[in-house]
Amino acid sequence: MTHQPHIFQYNETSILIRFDEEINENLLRFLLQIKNNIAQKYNKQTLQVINTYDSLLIIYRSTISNFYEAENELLDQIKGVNVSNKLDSAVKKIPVCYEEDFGWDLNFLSSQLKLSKSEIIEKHSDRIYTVYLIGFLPGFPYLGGLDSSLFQRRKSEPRSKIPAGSVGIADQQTGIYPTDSPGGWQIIGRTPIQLFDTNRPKNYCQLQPGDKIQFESISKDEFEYIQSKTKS
Amino acid sequence: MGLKIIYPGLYSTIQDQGRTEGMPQGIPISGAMDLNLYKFANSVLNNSEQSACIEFYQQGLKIHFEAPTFICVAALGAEIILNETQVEPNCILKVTAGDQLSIKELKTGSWGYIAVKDGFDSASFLGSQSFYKALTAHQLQKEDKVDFKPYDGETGGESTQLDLTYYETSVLEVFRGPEYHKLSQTLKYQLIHAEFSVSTSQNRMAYQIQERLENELDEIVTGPVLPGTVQYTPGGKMIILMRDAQVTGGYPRILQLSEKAINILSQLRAKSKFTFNLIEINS
Repeated sequence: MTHQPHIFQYNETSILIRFDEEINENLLRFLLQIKNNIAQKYNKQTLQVINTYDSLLIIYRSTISNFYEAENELLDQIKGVNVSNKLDSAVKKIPVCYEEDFGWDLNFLSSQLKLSKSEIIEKHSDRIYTVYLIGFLPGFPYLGGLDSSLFQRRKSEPRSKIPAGSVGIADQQTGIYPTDSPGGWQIIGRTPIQLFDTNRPKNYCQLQPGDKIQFESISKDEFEYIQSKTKS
Repeated sequence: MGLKIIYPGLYSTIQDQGRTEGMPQGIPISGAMDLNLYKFANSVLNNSEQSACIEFYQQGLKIHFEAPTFICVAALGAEIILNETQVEPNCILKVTAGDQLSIKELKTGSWGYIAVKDGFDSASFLGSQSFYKALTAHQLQKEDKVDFKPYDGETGGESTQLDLTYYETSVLEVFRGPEYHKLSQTLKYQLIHAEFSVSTSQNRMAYQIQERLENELDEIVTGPVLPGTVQYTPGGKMIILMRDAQVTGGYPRILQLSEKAINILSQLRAKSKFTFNLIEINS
């Protein structure tokens, strides 16, 4: 498969690469491979490389004096990419309590989707999800792979405060609020795990693009137990 | 040792030049809204470029010094009272323990900076002290103490003139955004020829434009954005992202402000008029 990149100078110090293609895991693997290669090969020239579903943003340390030179370097990187067959990460288990106190929108989803609450929970915790990108908030993972019977639009009025750990659904994605925040996702449960923690300087953001995760349904007692252990 | 906040104003924070890592983990760049004025404040005191300052908003603030140092209050137009005497902005001031500094409501501009010799000390995350909720403290509060190393040398640096002509323009230099090419000829014409004004919705994340242009673009697949990106909402509203912008967004990115334009815009108050001047990057 040949990927056709659109390479675009975004501002004085940044270049955007976008692929006009269907969003899927193949494209993600391809983007992450280029991201790694650029970060390694051009470590001295670049500050950070951000990936989204179909794009990479490369931020350079200084003003780009010759865009065409930079563009050619990037094209070489894209051509030379060898995509490994699969994302070789182990599936990370994330415990989620779907009980009433935390699954604020389960009743609403149940009537909208014509599924019982236990069916929703089963379908949500059955799948293995892929982290496509981290955005919106520090540490907020956009997870792809949601069962299509669970697709649901965001709430028309966002809530002013969604507690850290809340697990939500928006359109074709599911995600986890890493910190308290306003938000419009349909909330179905909460994890006691702290995905984002500045007290872990080396591992402040537990999930990275390309990671595989699965949700594990837990009781409220288990939720409180895990929370008491991790909050010490 | 350092200073104590008597009255914090509406939105006072610690800021430096922001973070150069963390965006792939969803962390905004942050940093001083007006990096030009921030750099000036530090240069007057011969500080390094990453020396953290207190950034304050239009309402000003009041602080009490508990140690000696030299300071520079950088602002476009400010009435500053040190103890009972009116002093000038944008120059070196000597302060000692017990001094009270009061910055009245700004007459022009929106953001000002207090630099101290060698910068303020505060918690740092990913190489920056810039406040951002979820990473550091959120805002400075009444009674908060902010530390700095006491300094009682002979001089604090060399006073230089702030170049105010930098701000004497209402033209913002912009580049084409990734979705600019999708705009109709009419919209492209309007963007470049119409006069716009800053709405009252302005904060460290974004400034909104008061006027709307009838939109014909669909939302895009969530993509990367940067400070200075002009987003175009389905309702025709234009949002200019500022220093605390989220790292991704789903609205078409029609224009991108130059670094200089971000600094100039940051100082424009609600209702201020401006126009866009479309230029090639590096021209």
